[in-house]
Amino acid sequence: MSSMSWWRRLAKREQMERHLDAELRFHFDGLVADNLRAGMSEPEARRSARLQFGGLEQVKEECREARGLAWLEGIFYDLRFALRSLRRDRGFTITAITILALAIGLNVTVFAVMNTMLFRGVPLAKRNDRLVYMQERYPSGVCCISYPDFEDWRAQAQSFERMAFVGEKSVSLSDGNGERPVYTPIFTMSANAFGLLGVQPLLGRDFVPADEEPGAPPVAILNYRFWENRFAKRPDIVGHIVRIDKAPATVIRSDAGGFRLSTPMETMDATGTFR
Amino acid sequence: VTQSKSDLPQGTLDLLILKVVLLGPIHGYAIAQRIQQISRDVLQVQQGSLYPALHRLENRGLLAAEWKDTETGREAKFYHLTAKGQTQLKTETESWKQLAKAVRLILELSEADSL
Repeated sequence: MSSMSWWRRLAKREQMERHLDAELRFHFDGLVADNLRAGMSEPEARRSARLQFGGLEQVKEECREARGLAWLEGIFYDLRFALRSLRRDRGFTITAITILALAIGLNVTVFAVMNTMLFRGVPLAKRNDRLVYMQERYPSGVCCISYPDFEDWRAQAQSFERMAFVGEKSVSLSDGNGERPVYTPIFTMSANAFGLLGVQPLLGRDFVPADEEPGAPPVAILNYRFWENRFAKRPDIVGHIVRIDKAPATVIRSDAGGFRLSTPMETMDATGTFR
Repeated sequence: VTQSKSDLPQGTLDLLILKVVLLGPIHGYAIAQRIQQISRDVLQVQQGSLYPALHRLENRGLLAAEWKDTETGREAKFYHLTAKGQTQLKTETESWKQLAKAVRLILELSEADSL
């Protein structure tokens, strides 16, 4: 009745059926042979044996039950024994549960991050199967690509339809009059990034190449959540001025709700072109 | 042979099986025959109850089984007693004897009373 034996029994169920069949057939043939020895004719011996034997299927069913019920009983006793042992050794139980909880929690976190970054792709992006992410590796980890490097890559690479740049930095972001600043990470990106992902704006316009030119007025795109929380979804948000690190930037659009770049962090509050 | 065949009291079949198997490895068919012979045809074991009992005992670890050839060269399932089965046989035999003794005492007493 150990856990091993019921597991094995489950796996060997088919063999058990074969053996049961053979065993009962052996008995039946024994009855027939005895009847023949007692002077019966062959058909008579068989008929009599069948009568003596009773319902074959019923006997089989009862044999299965004899095993099956004890099998369930075994699990029940195993569980009870396990619970008793756990109760007796509190220290061990608490340690084990804590370790399991930590391990499961860690796994869930890592998986959530991996799932977002590697598997699910960018939500709302039309063709995730055609997206490739490139990063640079430093001794200290994986981080940011310099914008001039990106421009070189873009000029020389031939294997990609288009390349876009997405960086990240933390800034203080405030309403037009400089009030209520929040310190928040934002994305800086090349003008073609949203177009490449195929994400449509909810309001206003997308970045255009002219926004990247030196001396072009700074522009920003707010994400849906920020637009909702700070501006109560003002429809006239396009053209409004926000301040990024105190420098003014014109809001050119609000993003489609639910848009997230491939980062496990919460959606960024704003997006500015790279300067 | 004109004696009527008796049904086995509840729980006795297991005890009889263990006792017969104690004598050496034996298959189900022979167990039924042996019980019938030893009891001089008084006890007839129905296969409808014999095989479920065998499987139950095997499952409880009181019996173990092996597939071996019989004298006629055919494969059959031979049961033998495990150590646990031997202990069980001993305790059950003891309690059966006590029970039989107690029943007899009562039956003899009531006979004496009615006289």
